[in-house]
Amino acid sequence: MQRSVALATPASRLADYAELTKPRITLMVVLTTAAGYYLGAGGTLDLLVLSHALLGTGLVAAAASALNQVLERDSDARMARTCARPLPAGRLEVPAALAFGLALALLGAVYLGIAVNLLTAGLGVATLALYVLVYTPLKRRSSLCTIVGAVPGALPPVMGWTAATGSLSAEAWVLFAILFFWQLPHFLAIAWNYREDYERGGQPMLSVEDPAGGSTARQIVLYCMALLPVSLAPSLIDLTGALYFYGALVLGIAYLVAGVHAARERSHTAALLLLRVSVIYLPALLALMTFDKVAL
Amino acid sequence: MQATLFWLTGGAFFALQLGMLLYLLYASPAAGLAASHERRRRVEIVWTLVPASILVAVVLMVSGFTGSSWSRVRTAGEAGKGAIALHQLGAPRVAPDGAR
Repeated sequence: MQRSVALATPASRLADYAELTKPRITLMVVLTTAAGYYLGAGGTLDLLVLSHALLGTGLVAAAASALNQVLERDSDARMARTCARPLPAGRLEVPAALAFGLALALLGAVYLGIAVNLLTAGLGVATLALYVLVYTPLKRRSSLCTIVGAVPGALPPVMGWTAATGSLSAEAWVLFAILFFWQLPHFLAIAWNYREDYERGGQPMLSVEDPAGGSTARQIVLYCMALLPVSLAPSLIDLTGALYFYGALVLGIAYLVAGVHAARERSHTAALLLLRVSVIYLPALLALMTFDKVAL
Repeated sequence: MQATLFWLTGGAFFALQLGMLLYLLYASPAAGLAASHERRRRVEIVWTLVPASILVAVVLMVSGFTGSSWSRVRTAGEAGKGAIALHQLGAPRVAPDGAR
């Protein structure tokens, strides 16, 4: 049953606005930004700039999630996984959510530009634009949206890097590639388990276009396989040491094994296992990176 | 050793990718299929090409082949290390110097 917007208490309204920002995704964005900053920073860590970068990036990520929910409110209402979100459930008004998202976007971009640097702010704006203006509309047209959506998903560590260094370099792009490749098996596992839901929502994910699962299975294995060499690259450019290299190799093999298992089984359980491995993989890899960072 | 493992895993990826492309281009049924199936096949070919292009770009960057400032290994003095590690299979890794 829908709650009346007028009857909502201030606390529940606040909770709805918080939900609009997808807190768990925003937290993941902030963590990967922090990792990028730490890896880019030299011997000394400027905690003030780091906190500015995290706050600004968090605001931009929250804005992207809020604006995404404004644009997807109709399809969200048709999907079991998302129908309880504040907009489809009628707990927030569209103009209020839109104003909230735009305010966060403006605040985040300006904050990054003033408190961090223009390059990081520019990357923030690019991330937001790609997510809201390209990825979100593409979700209704093609499964390639998943690939497009992985680009803004992989930019936060690059923003952390540019916040620390003020410039782009190969190391930042290696971090980008790791995050990019990590996301695809992760999202393909989600798309497999919620394929009926995505179909109801009118979103032609790979698992919707190919219900037999052959395409999803092949791409899961391919992207897990692509992640393996890319995840080793930080040690080859002296960003990290040998401990990271062999740790990343073990983690990458584990992710690949889970991917192959999901591809062979094509079951809910196997996809769930892949999803769980993916959410262990990334924090573990980032922890290894920060622990075994080669000090500049 | 690290460079060897990098190339081995990278080589395995490209072998898998090539196999998938050949399958999608020649082995998967195409003739007489509905337009939606043909479109789906073309979309999957794009899916398959994307990781290879990103991996190639990463290899070019860490090998020092790209000249632009935004894709060079940051510490120009040490940029050769990645290139050395990648180009000389089995060669000893260059230890980080004291300045790092």
